[in-house]
Amino acid sequence: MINSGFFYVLPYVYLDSFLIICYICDSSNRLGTQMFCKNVKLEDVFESEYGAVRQCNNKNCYWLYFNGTQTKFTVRDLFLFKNRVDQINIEKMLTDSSVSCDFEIIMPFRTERCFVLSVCDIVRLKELLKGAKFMIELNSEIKSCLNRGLYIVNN
Amino acid sequence: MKDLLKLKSSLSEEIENILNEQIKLEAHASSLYLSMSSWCDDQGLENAAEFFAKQSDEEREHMLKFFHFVNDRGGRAISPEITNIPADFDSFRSVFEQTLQQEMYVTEQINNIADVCAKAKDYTTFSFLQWFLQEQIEEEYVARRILELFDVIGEAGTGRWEIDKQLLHVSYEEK
Repeated sequence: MINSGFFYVLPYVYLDSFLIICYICDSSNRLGTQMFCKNVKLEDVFESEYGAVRQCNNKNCYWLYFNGTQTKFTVRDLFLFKNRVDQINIEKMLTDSSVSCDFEIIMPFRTERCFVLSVCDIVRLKELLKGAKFMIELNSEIKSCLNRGLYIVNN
Repeated sequence: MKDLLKLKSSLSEEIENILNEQIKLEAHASSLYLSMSSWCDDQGLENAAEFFAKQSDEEREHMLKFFHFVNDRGGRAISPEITNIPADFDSFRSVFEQTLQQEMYVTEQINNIADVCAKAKDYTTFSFLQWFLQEQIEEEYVARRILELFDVIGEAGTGRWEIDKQLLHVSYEEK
């Protein structure tokens, strides 16, 4: 009886465990990525008075800290986001008196973030992203130079 | 600090952008030649229609070569939006004049890309462009030779019919 009962219960125990594992995996995909990156040391890429961009070498991504929010980007998505912010016509926002022109809304792809930006926010974000992009490219350029130097030394 | 930029793509942003511009240019040329093919067909110039249809296919192949190259190197190729393709042309001769101009412009653009690649020391892309530069010699030669047919044969009488017949024999052979 015990054995048969055990075999009746066993599939349900496995099923429950499986569902719990699925839930953990799913929640780590949806919510836990941020926590995952928090466990590793993030490297500062660029920091301004109003925010920062940090690099996660574990997940190969960047974290944008701005206005109390944290948003994860891949290198390409970060540059696309920068292009999108750079394209905002600040002059039009300042000269147009309609309420709809007081803020700009940006929802970058592959993030769950919606940026509602005032003119001040846009200027600050532009500065932050410009600095971050420069530092990312500078790092890449330095790495290339060092690799070239290494090749010359070895030969 | 890890170089995430190079991990993602071997193409610099500048070169990726100009290659995407070239994709657009090739796509534009393909659409233009297809429009010319339709116009020639409408004018009863059967061989010219066939010639331009083939040219259009070739330009699309060129576009796809660039397209796949950008993606293969870790960049992101952009499917271009093509607008302002003319549906009407002045004359049979003007169609070929425009073809030559188009090909000369394409050659110039590829030369510019090669120049940027050399300055950026991107010799992989530079080497990839060599095939296109070689191809442009043929494209310009064929367009020039066909234009010369207009002077040699003349358009009067059955001239247009004769030019249409002869243009299929124009080909480039490397000496």
